Formats: sequence, C-alpha cells, structure tokens
Amino acid sequence: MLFSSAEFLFFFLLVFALHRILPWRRALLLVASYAFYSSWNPPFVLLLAYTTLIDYALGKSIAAETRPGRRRALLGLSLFGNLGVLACFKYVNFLLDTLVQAGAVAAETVVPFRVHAQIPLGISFYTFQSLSYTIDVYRGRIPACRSAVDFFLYVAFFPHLVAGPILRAEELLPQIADNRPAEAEGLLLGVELCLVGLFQKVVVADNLALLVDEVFARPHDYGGPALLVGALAFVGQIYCDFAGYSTMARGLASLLGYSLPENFHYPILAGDPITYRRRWHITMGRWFSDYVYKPLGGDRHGEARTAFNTLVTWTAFGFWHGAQWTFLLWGLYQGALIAGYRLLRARGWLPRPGLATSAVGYAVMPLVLCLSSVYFRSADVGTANAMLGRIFAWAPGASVAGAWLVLMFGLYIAHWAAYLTYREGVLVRTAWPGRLAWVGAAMAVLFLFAGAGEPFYYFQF
Amino acid sequence: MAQPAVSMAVPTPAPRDSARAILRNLLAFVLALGAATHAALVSSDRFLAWCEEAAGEDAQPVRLEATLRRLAPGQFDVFVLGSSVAESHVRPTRLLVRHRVRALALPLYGGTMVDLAMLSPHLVRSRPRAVVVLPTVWTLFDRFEWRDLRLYDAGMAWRIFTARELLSSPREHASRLLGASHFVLRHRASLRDSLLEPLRPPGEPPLVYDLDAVGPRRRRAALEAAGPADFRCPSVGSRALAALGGHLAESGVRTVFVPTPGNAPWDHSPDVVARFDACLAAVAASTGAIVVPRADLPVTGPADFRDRSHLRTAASERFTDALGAVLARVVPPRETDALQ
Repeated sequence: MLFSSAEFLFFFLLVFALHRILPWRRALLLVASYAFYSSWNPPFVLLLAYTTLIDYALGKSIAAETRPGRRRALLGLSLFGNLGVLACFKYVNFLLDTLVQAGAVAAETVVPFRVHAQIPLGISFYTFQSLSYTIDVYRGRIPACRSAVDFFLYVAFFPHLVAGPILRAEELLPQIADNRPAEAEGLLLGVELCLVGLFQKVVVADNLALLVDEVFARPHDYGGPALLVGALAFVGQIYCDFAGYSTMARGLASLLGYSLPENFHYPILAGDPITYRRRWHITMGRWFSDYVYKPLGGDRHGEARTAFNTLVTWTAFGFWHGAQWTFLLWGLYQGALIAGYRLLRARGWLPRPGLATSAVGYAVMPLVLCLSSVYFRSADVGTANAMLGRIFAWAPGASVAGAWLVLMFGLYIAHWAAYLTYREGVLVRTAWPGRLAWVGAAMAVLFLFAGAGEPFYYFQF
Repeated sequence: MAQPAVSMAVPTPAPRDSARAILRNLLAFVLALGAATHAALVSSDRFLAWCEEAAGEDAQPVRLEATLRRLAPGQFDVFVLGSSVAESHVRPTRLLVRHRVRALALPLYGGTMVDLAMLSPHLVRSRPRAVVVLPTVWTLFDRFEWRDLRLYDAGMAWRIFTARELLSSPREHASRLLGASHFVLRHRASLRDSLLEPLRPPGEPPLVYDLDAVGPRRRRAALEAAGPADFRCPSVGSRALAALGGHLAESGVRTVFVPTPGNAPWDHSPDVVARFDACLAAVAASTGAIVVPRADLPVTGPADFRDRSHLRTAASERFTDALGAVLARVVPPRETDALQ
C-alpha cells in the first residue's frame, strides 16, 4: 500500500476520520499501523511484533536493573535479538556467497544455511528505531516506556514505519502519550507536506524513473553522455523518491497530530560533502553518528582516527542499505569523500570560502554524487565499473532525448528557487483564497503529471 | 503632533480557523473543484475535440469517451463495438449508403470484452437504437488482470465480477474507483502525453515512455501462447458480454452479437468455434440479445484476411453487407418526413 496509491488514500481517509471521532486513538493507530504493514506480507507482522516485544521487555528490564554487568548483558541481548534478525534476513546469503567466492567453503556446504525468505519490508528502519530505544534506556537518556500500546505504536506508527524518518523514543513517545488530534495548524501543514511529498514522488521521481530504468537496464548500449544524464537523473530520482516519502510521512503524521523531524534539507544543493551528509537522510545520519561514529571516538582522537571512524561509519551506512558490494563501495566512497574533505579543510588546503569557490562547489557536488550513485543503482560492481568507464571515456553509443536535459536543468533551477523562496507552512501563513489556489494548483499538477506509480525505492532496504 | 507621512503597516497574520472549519472548507473545496472541472471539461466541445485528436493506440479510451460525449442523443442508430475488428470488419459509410443505417464504429484497439462492457453507460447515454457487438473467440479466453484494464465503470465492474474478485486487487480497484469520478483522472496518461507531445523534438523517442502499451503487449503474448483448453465458457469475457447485453437491454437498447471471424489457428478450430457459438447463444438467451447466425455471414478464408484478425477491404464490404441486412430488420429505417 504505497502512500501515492489510491488504495492508501481510501485507507488513510478512513483512519483519519476515525481518529478524529473515536476516543481510543492510540489503539486505533496501532491497529491501523499493523493493518498497513500486513497489506504487504501478513506473516511478517509477527516479526515486527517480535522485535517490538523484545525491546519493550528488555527496555523495562534494563531500567529496573542496577548492576552494570547485567545491564550490559541485557543490552547485548537486545543488540543480538535485533541485529540477529536483520542479519538473518539481509546478510546471511551475502556472507555465504562471499565465503563461496573466496573459496573458503564449497557451494554445496552452504545450501542448508541459505535464507530463502524475502526481506521483510522496512526491517532496517524499524529495527534501528527499536534498537535506539534500548540503547537510550541503557544510557539513561530516557526512562523505560511503561505502556505496551505506546511502545508498539512507537515502533509501528505507519507514516514512518517502512522508510523512516527514524525517530528517537524521546521524540515520539511523549507525543503518543499526549494523544491529541491535530490542531488547525497541524492540519494545514499536513495537507501541504502531503502535496509537496506527492509532487516529489509521483511527478518528479516517477517520471525520472522512466529514463533511469531505461539507461541502467542497457548501459552498454548507451554512450557516455547518455549514461551521465542517466546517472544525474538517478540522483534526482532517488532524492525525490526518498525525500518525497519522508515529506509525506511528516504530512500524514501532522494530520494525525504528530510532528516528525525533517529528513532531507536540499542535499542536492550542498556545496561540499559534509553539508551534503548533514542534509541527506538526516535521521539515519544522526543514528549512525550517535550509535556508531561517536562510540568509535568521533573526532576526539586526532586526524587519522577521525578519518578512520568516518570511513567505518559511512561504510556501515552503505552496508545498511543492503548486502551488496555496490552498497559497500557506495558507503566507502561517501566516507572517503567526507574524510578527505575534512582533512583538506583541517590542513587549510582548500580555497577560502567565497562566491567563486561556492559556485564551484555547487557545480561539482551533483557530479560527485552522480558518480557514487552509479554504484548505488547498478546491479553489480562490474556493471557499475563498466558504466563509469564509458562515462569517463565519453564512449559513443545511443543517446537520450535532448528534452530530458532541458527537463532536468529546469528541475535543478526549480529546486534552487524552492530553496530560496519556499518555507514550510505556506498554508498556515496564507488566507483562504491563497490556500485554495495553492491546493487546487498542486492537485492539478499532481493528477495530470503523475508518473507510472513506481514503488518507493527505499522500501527495499 | 503631526502624523507621519507613511504609516508603519504591521503585517496581520491570517485569521485563525478551527480545525473543523479547515477540514470542512478543504473537503468542500476539493469536492467542488472535482465536480466543477469534470462538468466544465465534459461539456466543453473544444476540450473533447482536443481529446479526440490524442495520438497513439493507448489514447483510444480517451478518444472513445470524448466521441461518445460529443454525440447528441440519437445521432446514430447503431454503434458497432469491438476491438480493432470494429474498424476492419465494418464500413459505416457503406451501411449508411446501402442499408440506410446510421452507424458509428467504436474500435478499442487491443480491448477485451471487459473493456468493451465498461463502455456501456456511455453508449446508453447516446441513445442508439441498437449496439452491434463483435466478440471473437477470444471472449472464451479466461484470463484477466486488473492492470490490463483500459476502461472502468464501477457499476459494470459490479455486474461482471464477484465481490471477492473485486477485492482481490484493492490497489487497482481503488485507483480505478477514484478515476471513475473525474474525466482527467481517468485519462491523465493520454492527456499528459498530448500536452507534452509539442515539446518532443521530431524523430526522437517520447519524453515519457508508453508504459500503458506494455499491458496490451503482455496480453497479446499470453494469447499467442494459448491452447484449445484455454477457451472456455463461462469466462470473464462471456460474463462481461452478459453484463453488457443485460445493461443495454435494461436501458431499452437492442443488442446484436455477431460471431466475428478471425484468421488465427483457433478461429479455424471447429471445436473452439462450436464452443464459442454455444456460449454466445447462451449469453444471448440470458440477456435477450440477438445472435447473427454464422450462416448469415459471408464465408471467410485465410485469403480474406490481411493478418490474423483483420479483413481485407473486399471481405469487409461483404461482411458489412451481411450485417446491414440483419440491421435493416432489427432497426428498420425511420420514415422520412415527406416535406424534408
């Protein structure tokens, strides 16, 4: 049940109406969230419940326990329970394949250990969110949640369940306990964010997907310029797909009276790698920063250690996306980029900030991103390398319609215009004629220019 | 004390509304916008004419709907409904000249019987005296996928499918249910392509690829692989035919089923053809429709076809004449006023 589908529209309108009418809102949202999740694969609801249950129980046990050793053991149990499930579904086959390819074991030996089930939808998202709760309870940042319904809803809250934003318990649990329907401003903001997110997803991402799917399906047929255009289009697609989902998630939550944090803040317009990382998938970056980068030592132990920590963190970030070498290389590339940039800046080897350097940064960053995106999108490393080789060699081959370039340049300019002029809350700040004009125009564009209804790209993670 | 020449205007915030007022206003606006734009578009002759000019095979549904909406009630005596065979087998001009039957062919290229049945409410609105349906043996091919459906009407869907079938694919059904409420929502892919077409440089591939064509293409591939056992009755196609006949009969429109000749191997299989004829007779008996006996239609052989489905000109003229003779009995020409 995609956010951009008519099926979800009917589902959400029903939930929204009941949420405003019925007094037991938390229970309603919990049932709706499990119904939403079960619309993909009903048996995996049990896995979601299992993850939630062990963290709920362990969170209470950790809070009640005073002996450090026992607390550590309980936290270890939570880590094992969560990451074990994640590893079982996402990484076991990759590990076995790697061992076989390395010649460490025979192919027949690993057959009984292979996992044949598909990857549960959004498992990486809800597992990390649930895990962050037990870690925070262990660290004493938050008290253990007493209400099972509240905790189950914290993990399963359907607007962000399958693709984030990844929330902290301290952000969502108080709102669940508060349990109030949306006020006037929340409703207007919710409508606005839903329309903006839908525009990003169904108008921009789904239409760019047509070009991206075509180019990445036959990279050997296309020439270097066409492949570069395809890679740039993928940067736009993946950004608008994921940011669109996150924006819709925030809008839906707002309509239900909840506030979710921003997950993307114009990362395509970043002028350097660090700014880019801070603006892309903000909640996940924050998770890795708090639970991986800082425990490793962060930037407190010198340049070399900082660079190492950065590389490890972003490689793990890449690997979080899936058990493929392409994701690992993508993460490594991102880490190397950030570590290298930070090193150059610390040594004073970068030109001083100014208009010219900023302009160069803004022009170079999309190209830098599109090169890494080739690894992110390609089926395997060999294909990605071949594609990059054709781009760098400016190889001859099939081209794409010139109109795509015009379209993408137009989108880039429009993105800058939005960055400079658009501030969330337009509907809140505007009077009724303006509101209705805005909603009417947005609906007209959505209904007329919506693409083919592609599934959200990040659902696979 | 002198007043300042320019007053310092303080921006006033937008008036605050209650949550209930906001919901009420937004809901009313969306409903009113939907109803008003739908009404304005389907009553605009210029807009409908523009829709009729939409190019490409996938734009056929919007062209058909626009055509039917532009017609005055009773403008045509007969509608000839079918897939592309409605165009290749029947010559409306010949029907008018030789048989004095004002007929309009409504071909839905690649359309299934379910697609054609969905047109029924539009047909009834145009008040023809009869509808000629051209089912082929494909009607017995019992396979259906929601994603392949090109036209939709909630009432007809309810007639054709069981509740369980309707709920088997809620995503597709919900999408079409939403589309049923508004002309643009139904045909947005074709309308969008028409809007973007001027932007496309000549000779270059379309900016937005023709994804809708994938459905008919996939279906054609399934049909090519079909064997005699795949042709059965009742099938989803025969149920659609019964729903179409039933709906037209209830609306006072006569329905004529014509067993349409084809040139694929199964069109020449006596077993499949016999099954098809029996099925057609059963559906006609249940709906009060008329079936044109095969004996009244000209005999066709492979030489009469230009491919697996479509008749050559001479053969289609013979077919049209045979149909015209039947129609002259079913819808006799109206007496013309002597003063005209």
